[in-house]
Amino acid sequence: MGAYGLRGGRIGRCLALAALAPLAFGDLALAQPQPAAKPSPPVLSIPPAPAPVPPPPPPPIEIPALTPAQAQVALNVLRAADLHGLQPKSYVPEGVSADGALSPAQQAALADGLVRYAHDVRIGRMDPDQFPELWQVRPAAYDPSADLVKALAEGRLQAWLDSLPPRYSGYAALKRGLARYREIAARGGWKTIIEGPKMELGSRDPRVPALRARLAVEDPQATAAGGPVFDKPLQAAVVRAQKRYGLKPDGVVGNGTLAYLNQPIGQRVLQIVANMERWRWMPPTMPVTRVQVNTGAAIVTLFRDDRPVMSMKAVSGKPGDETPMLMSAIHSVVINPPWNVPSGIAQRELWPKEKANPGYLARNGYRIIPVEGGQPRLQQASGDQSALGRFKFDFDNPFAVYLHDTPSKGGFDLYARQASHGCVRLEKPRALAEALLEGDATWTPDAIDRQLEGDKTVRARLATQVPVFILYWTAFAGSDGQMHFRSDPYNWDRELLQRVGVLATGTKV
Amino acid sequence: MLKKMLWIAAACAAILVALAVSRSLKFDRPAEKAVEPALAVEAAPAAPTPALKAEVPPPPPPPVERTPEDQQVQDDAAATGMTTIEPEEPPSPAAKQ
Repeated sequence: MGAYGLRGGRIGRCLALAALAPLAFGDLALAQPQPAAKPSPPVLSIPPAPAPVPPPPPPPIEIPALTPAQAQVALNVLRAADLHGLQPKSYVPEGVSADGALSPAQQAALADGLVRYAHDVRIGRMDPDQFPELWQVRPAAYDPSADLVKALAEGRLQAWLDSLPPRYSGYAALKRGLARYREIAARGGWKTIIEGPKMELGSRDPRVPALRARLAVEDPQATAAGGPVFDKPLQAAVVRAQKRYGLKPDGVVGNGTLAYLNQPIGQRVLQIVANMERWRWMPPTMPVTRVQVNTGAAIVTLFRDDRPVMSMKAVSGKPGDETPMLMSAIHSVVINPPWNVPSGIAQRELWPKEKANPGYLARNGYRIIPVEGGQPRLQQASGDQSALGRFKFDFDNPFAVYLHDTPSKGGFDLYARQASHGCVRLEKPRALAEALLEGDATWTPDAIDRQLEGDKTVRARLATQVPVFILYWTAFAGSDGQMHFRSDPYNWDRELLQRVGVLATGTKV
Repeated sequence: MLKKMLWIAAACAAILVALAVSRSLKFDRPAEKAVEPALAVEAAPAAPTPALKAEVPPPPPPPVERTPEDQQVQDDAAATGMTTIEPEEPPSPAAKQ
């Protein structure tokens, strides 16, 4: 079972809009001329409020001509844009000679290229208003023109350009990974291993030498040489590879593991490029205490003083009910939460079960709440069978998603954990609740224990809200420094690359 | 009763006087360093030249021993996005811009 899903979230948004509507009309009424002394005219005769006039756009900032030295710096940086997963030809003027001499038209094109590069490397190639609804982690709009003019005037163009990319180690690790995987691609990448019976310790299989060679391409600890018998060092290399791909690390190579190993090198390069693009949407700094979620890997980490102090597995939304990327702040922990079932989930999943097995709803603790002039609502009572388990972590967001406990603990044993209706289910909710409520005089561990003895719902407000970041990473450097990949369960890498024109243009990145 | 109170007041006054005296004597100040500076001057080695300093590589950081649980937290933190800030890159060779 899941929680408020995205469809429920849409309803939530509708309700929010409905709630805001009177405010909007209230503003409108205030904006209208008030006939103070005259008798109230009929409503229909009130002239419509004038449409708001958008402020005129600021005048374009003129970029001064670059000195020859500045032009050389600019050309060097733009030609190296591929280090950041960008395409140099998008920024470097055409027909620039080797000595860097520029015609007036090329000068203007170079200044234009610099502005676009600065924008793209700092906040990404998508403007904030082009983001899909579920991608709520968005950068502020950025026009680099004024900064560029200042940098040129102060003679620090190189330093300014160097300061633009994200400074997070996650981004820097991807940049190193991009260079490494391009090198692998330049050396010919890796060969596909044909499917067949499982290969495991002791197997004799003609594909074993190819498997050794394949693993050694990515894994510096693995050796490419060896015979056709699957030995212990090969098993260890397979386990390491399975960990890098988020698979069950059993050391057995079936067709599932082969599917990951056989992904073309170009695919991995593109994955790194897509994830570098997402890093540019992050705020320039992160709060030192925060909860970070990666829905692509279904992992949650609590940071304190900017250091990870706790982590756990999660279950995130399934394809079609994707967990949105968002930033918010946890304001309260609800102990023994009831589940107000979103109408979409009720109609699609629960009412059909009730029809097929009369009494299903009552047996599972659901209460039918009549709604005047509408479909009845369903609410599942708090307690052990509640789909939200014993804890819910509330934070404001337009999708009505949150982090919560679950009675379905088996989901955490899986390695692909995208199965919820959009919320994030937690493997260790009690530990997270205690950590967030640490220092609270009321909600001591004993007090939580006492509350859990019954089913009464209580809301424990946090003295200090804890920021939560729900992110989507499918390529990242592990703590071993090696590149790790996930399967892009939401297909958002492909969507992103199409939106920024990398896939549509078919450009080799 | 009055006598008792007078005794208590006298005792309090005595304690206050003792505290004031002790503060003026500064019992908590650090030990005298009268002897140390002389020794330090004699024993002070010649300051190493900057060039020598630069040649000595810093000792490698001790290997971090992690429990499997700690290691898992580190692995998971990497998977949720490493958000530590990278140190500034050394400035590029000075170029007239």
